Amino acid sequence: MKEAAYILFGAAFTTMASYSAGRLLLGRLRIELHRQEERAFAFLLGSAILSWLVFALAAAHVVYKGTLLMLGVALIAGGCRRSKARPFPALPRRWIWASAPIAMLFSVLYFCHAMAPEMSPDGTTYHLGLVARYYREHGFPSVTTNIYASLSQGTEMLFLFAFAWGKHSAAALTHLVFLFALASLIVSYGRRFGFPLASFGAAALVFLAPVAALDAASAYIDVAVAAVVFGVFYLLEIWDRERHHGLLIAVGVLAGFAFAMKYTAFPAAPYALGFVLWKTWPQPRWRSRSLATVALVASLWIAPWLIKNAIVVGNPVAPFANSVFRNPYVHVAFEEDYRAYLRTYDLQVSRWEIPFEVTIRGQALCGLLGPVFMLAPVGLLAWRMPHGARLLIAALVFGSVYASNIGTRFLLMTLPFVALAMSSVLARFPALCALTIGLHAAASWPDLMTLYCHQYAWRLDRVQWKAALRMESQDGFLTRKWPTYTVAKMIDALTPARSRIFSFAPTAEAYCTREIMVGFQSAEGTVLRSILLSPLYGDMQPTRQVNFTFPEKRVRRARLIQTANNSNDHFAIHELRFFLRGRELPRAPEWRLRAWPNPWDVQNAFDASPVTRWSSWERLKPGMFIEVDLGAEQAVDRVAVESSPETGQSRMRLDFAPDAIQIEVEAPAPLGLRREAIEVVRTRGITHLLVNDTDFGTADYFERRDEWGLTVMGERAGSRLYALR
Amino acid sequence: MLLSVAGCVKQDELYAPPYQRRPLAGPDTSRLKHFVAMNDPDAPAHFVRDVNERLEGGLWRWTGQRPLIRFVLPRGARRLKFVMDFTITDDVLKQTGPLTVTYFINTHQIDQVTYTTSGERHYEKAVDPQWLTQADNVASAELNKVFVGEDGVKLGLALIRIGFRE
Repeated sequence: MKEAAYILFGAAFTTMASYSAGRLLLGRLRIELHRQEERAFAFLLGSAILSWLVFALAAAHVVYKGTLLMLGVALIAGGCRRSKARPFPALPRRWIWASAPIAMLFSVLYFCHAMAPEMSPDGTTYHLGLVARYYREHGFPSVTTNIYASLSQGTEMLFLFAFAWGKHSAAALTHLVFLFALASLIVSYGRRFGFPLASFGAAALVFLAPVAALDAASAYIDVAVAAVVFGVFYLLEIWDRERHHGLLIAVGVLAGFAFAMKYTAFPAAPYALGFVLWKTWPQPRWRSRSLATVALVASLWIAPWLIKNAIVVGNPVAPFANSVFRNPYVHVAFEEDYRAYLRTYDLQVSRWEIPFEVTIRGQALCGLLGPVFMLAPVGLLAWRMPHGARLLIAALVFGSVYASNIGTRFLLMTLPFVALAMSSVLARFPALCALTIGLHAAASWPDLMTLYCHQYAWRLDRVQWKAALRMESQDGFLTRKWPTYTVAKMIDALTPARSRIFSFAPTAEAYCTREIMVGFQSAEGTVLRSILLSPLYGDMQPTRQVNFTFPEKRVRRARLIQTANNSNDHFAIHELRFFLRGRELPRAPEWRLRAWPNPWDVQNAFDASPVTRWSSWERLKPGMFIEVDLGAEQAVDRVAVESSPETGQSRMRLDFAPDAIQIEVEAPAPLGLRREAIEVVRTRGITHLLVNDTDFGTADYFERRDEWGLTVMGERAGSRLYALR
Repeated sequence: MLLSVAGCVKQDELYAPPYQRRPLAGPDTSRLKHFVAMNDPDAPAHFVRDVNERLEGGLWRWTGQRPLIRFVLPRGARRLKFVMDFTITDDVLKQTGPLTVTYFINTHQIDQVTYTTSGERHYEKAVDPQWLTQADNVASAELNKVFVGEDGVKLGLALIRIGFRE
């Protein structure tokens, strides 16, 4: 129970600090809102401020309980005062009485889930995995081996504030507050602009949507982003009526914060600027001032994340745009594959099934909105209604990013607009509106969802009140419900501090204090992964040898150029060797090596190891090269290129000997690759290897562990931990 | 502009050769290997007996009745398999009938296989480490019969690659 108190304190302290910061800002800007609006906007604006301040503390490496406590107390002391805002006129009592039991029931469900030990996939791997690391290290370490550390993490800064007190569940509870804020804002929107029933219905549609509920009750960030994006829209609508300049500052704060929370919320700033531009078009002076205000304020929230990335990984928008901002930390090929995956999720079904998947099935795209949202096209009829066109345009703008990631939760940003449009139409028939909400509530209750959704749909479980109140221990609950947790605990128990563990798949890093490098999450991880897989795949071994023979020449600089244009293969070279009369030229310290693209790995083609290679990590393009400056002119009559069959589509020529005779031969597959792979991985700082039952080669790692040079340390939940000998 | 400025990183980088690793058996630049494809320019250095010097079709070589090939194994190699890829041609099989091949590693007979149909064949068998030496090792595939041409030439298998693998 003491643990539960800390959790509640962590979430409440974060919420109060945010709310108070927002009240301070609203007071400074002299923005007058209705009481219900004021609460929600104070929380959202204050979250942006608190997030910014925690970022500053993390950048200064002073994230300690003491500093966070001082910050929180100062904000609460400064901003917590009695509100003088007028409330909206009361809603009809029958609406309240009809909706209160449903709202209470679902609130208890959500609250218990959020307060129960966190076990969401992304929450326990990277959202809180990174937060836990920042807290351990009192700020931002230079993380170059995890793409998720390069995403903007505005919400995670709030999680960090909450985590200091109540750990994982405090972060999840903080996220849940955003769902209440969002629902409250949607209701207020209709009350302010004269369609309360429609907005009341829309709030219910959003609040009860299963994916919104599960997302909000976990340490995810999508509902928080949806709330902030809707806040931007809402404030712009108020500004359109009142033309109060302070509102534009608030718009800038939230538009910038939206990007700071999640890259895919980037349309918030262009939307705000576009809206302001449209509305101020006839007044050039007022237009410039308004646009500058929004842009400058927004940039205060956007810039820190871009600058952090530029400093740490040399790419302000990492892990994207790597072909523009080239860097050694993320391969272009990975980015292309990753984006392609997010656009399709490797769906085995037609794209026409996406609506069915995101509303009813809920498995392939991770979550469901509820069957009621099959009626979403009804919302198009709102076009001619007051606010209808604006809602639909906003839905289009914020829904446009969905194509870049078709996971259901990526619809959350546009959901409030869709729900308002739908509800505006349905509200013409109040009984139909009430029936729709009633059906939505029934269809969203976990026990009833099992009747129609996929058995493995991502959805809420039953009310976990014992776990929430810690009447069942966190350890016991997670051991029983979340096998990955036991793997994380095994790693902590069996490895010394400062161990670096390589894993082919993510694990629950939020519950582990060791550094875990996941194969696909960085260029370094990808290279290690290829080293560890090469003994198992004949096609990755250096058995393709291309010999260039030519009359003896004196050469100082030699460039091997790739000439083929192919959409799949990469240009990769295990070793590049120079010969004179059958003897290899020894590699001298004065040699200088260069390659394009991916210059950073060029030494891998000159280290005499059969498991390492230089690779373009990009699809074949003419002009890719690897180059050697021999330091002085030397006689050469043969160049041997050792590569692997998987690069078989590449074609090469030597710039200094265009007429060289090329003979391609099959070289022997080297022996002892397993041991060599482990040796190389160890020299790169890895101390342990985590292999899951579903990873390729899991049997080989175990059965031939002596050949690899591995010692089994432990085994939990289908994952085996090896120490590198 | 912020993106452009912030993203400027040095790209034209030069590196010195790194530490040279000494793996168990990297791609060998000496002339004798543990495995050899017939189109390897160094392949003839491995032939002790009964393998034709002429490369056919850029890929394979004729053997005689008792081809013997020499290999060098790196220190510490273990759990090796003897591997041989070859083709039995129609013409050979028509004249000889079913062909029996007896495989030897050094002085140890490891197997005897009778082939009744023509086509590409892959032979693979684990080798007892005690049969191998740190110095040169030889492998042979002795045929019970060979094709004899009108000019008296004796042809056995069309050998593609042979040697030891893990």
